[in-house]
Amino acid sequence: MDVRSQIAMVFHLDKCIGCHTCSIACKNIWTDRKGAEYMWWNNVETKPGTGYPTKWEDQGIYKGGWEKKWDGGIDLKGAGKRRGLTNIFYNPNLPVIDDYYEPFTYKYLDLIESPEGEDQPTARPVSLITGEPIDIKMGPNWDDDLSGTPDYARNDPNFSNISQEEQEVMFQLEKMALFYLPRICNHCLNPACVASCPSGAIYKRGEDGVVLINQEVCRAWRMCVTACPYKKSYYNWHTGKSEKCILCYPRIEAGLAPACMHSCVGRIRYLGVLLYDASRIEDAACADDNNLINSQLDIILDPFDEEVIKAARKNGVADSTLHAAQNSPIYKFVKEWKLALPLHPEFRTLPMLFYVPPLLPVMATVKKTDQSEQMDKMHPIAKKWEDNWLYDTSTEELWGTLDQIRFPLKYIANLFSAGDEELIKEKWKKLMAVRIHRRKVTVGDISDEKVATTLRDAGITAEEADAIYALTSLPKFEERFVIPAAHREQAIEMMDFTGDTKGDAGFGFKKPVQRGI
Amino acid sequence: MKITLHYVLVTLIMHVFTFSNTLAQDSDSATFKSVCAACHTIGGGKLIGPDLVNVQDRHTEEWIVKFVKSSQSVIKAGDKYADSIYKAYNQVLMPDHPNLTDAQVKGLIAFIKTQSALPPTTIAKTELPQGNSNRGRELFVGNIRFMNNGAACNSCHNVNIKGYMSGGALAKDLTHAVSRLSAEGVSGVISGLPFPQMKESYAAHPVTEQETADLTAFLVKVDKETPLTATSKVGSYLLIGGITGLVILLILYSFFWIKRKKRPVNFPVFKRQIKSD
Repeated sequence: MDVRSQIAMVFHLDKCIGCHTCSIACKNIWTDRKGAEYMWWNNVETKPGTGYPTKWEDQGIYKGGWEKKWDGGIDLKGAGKRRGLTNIFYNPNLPVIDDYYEPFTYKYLDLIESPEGEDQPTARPVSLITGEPIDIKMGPNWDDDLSGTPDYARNDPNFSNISQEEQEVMFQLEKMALFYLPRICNHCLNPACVASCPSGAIYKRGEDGVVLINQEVCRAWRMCVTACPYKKSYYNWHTGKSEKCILCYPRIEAGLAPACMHSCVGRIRYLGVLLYDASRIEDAACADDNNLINSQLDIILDPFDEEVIKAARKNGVADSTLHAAQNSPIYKFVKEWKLALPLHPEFRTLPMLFYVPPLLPVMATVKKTDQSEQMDKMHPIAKKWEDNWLYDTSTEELWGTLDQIRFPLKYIANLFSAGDEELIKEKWKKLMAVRIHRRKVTVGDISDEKVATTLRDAGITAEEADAIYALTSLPKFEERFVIPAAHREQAIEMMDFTGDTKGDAGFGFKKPVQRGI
Repeated sequence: MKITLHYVLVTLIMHVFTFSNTLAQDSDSATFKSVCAACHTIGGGKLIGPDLVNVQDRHTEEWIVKFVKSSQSVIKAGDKYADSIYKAYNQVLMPDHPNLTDAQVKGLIAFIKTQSALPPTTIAKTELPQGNSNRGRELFVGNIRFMNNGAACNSCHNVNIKGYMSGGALAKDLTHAVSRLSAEGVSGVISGLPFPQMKESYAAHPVTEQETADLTAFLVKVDKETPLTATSKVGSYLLIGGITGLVILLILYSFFWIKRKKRPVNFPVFKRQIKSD
């Protein structure tokens, strides 16, 4: 058993309101630079939709991630030694700027500095790359709230195995059937980007598992851009180096939550430590398609287990880290309650960012109602809405809606469980059971018997349901982000003798002081 | 006394006559030497151009005047005989002489006529001193300066020899100049400067006889040592080989990367979008 610690994350999609505050926070801190204008280390996608870069999930186009070999092992789909050599002068599967979007701004100064004329001045859009006026073709989340347009939502790669009829059913209600999918680097346990880098510039930090690109070593091969199936490694055209989400490690080391998580308005993000068995990573990554998630969750270890604690200590995991692992909200969501799932586990990178699948708008229905009575009561000059649709989240039968859901189960399963619908059903039952239980507690209009059946069906106790509710709806800052002390000094001491540099940093002069006149 | 006076008078007149005659003859001879002799002899055999002995019998005076003033226009006008001379003499065009007046050309014809009657030895060919090809090479390349500060030959000319970076491409490649023009022709060109551009460059900086001999010796050596067809053949092989190689590589690459991502994923969408001008 090779126990290591990993900073892992959970995003609770039912809470995401799609406000993009996380993206802006990240952009302001890290990617508001020349060459990085088009990068969104954190982006929020609207699903169904094609995402950013367009159709990133379609590995037939971008050749990211791992694929299973005939001998049971795994191989990089678009990179590796042979492919690297044969494509040494030309990396053929890269997304181009038009697959992301050409970043732009507006010439706002024209609005106030234009000379007097016949027409109102306008602020023309200009490219942030060339500085020339452009026609805006796309933005970083062009399908934001446009779900249902033929060009975006209908081209979602996750529809590959969903029949035309099922798709039609979804798109009849297109204006409301959507949810948000915020994405950052998954800081995977089996990162394809690290494996693909010919320069060895990408590494997974030993003490917390953050995946980083060494800017000094990067040689612009861009194999990581191809290899990352989530397209979360970006090439900076100005510096000639690739960049990616660094999980705000300077903040984490200082005990602060990453900027995207700190600023999250819906408080959907959780961050904490997981302990995992590094010796079983290969087995988990090579698991059969139908067993992928189970084997990934299997290598995550119980931080309360004495054996695990002993092995962890032997491996140099600090007690503070173990303590953080025991309080980790991630461990609760992923292992204890089994509510969260990794995004696209079929890419076999063992992502360490987990998502609680969204229950809404999935479970809601739209009904036709007659609202004429209400309309008559309104003042004659009041605006009258002529649509007669009612967005209804109440249910008559407890599990009835699960079979009549507006999103085919398969769609969510394609995203979070490599197509395993039962797994999604299980999570939804739990989420629904928590709601029904809490309705009983707070409103009390549901019979005890019905609640008990629901909880039993979902396989959780009332206490667990309360705990889930508490961590979902009421968590404080310290409960959402359990960040262990970084122990950077220990990590540095493994590589360098700190005595050598004692006195070099800190208060003093950057250049030698010049004496005399 | 009367007889004496008469005699004196006659002699005087005759002298004046002969003197003016010799004067005319002298200027024609000088013109011939400076303008024609580089390429032509009178009875001395062909050099670059044909032997001009008795040229007055072969053509009308009018034709010769026209030809001397601009041989090109005569050839272009479709004169078959002019064309046959042009072809017979390695297609070296005779330079135009627009500065010669009709009278001067006629004088030249007269001069040739008188000279043709004499035995060919009377126009002594200027004997050049023995040339040193090594010194000629240094002069050509510009390592040694010409006595009268003329420009080094390789500013405009190239020769194709081992161990020498190529010279200028402004004027003719001189690798096989001797084969084309003969050694006498080459030295004649260097000393006589029949070509307008050469004249422009070297009239004020004449090449000395010794230097002419050295350069000629060098060019003779180059001509002998360099295979006649080497340059042109290698050039065409290289071109054909290069083009074939390129085509093969392009075919190979197009198979190699046949599955590459050629366009943005949203290309059809972008194509449909309305664009501003």
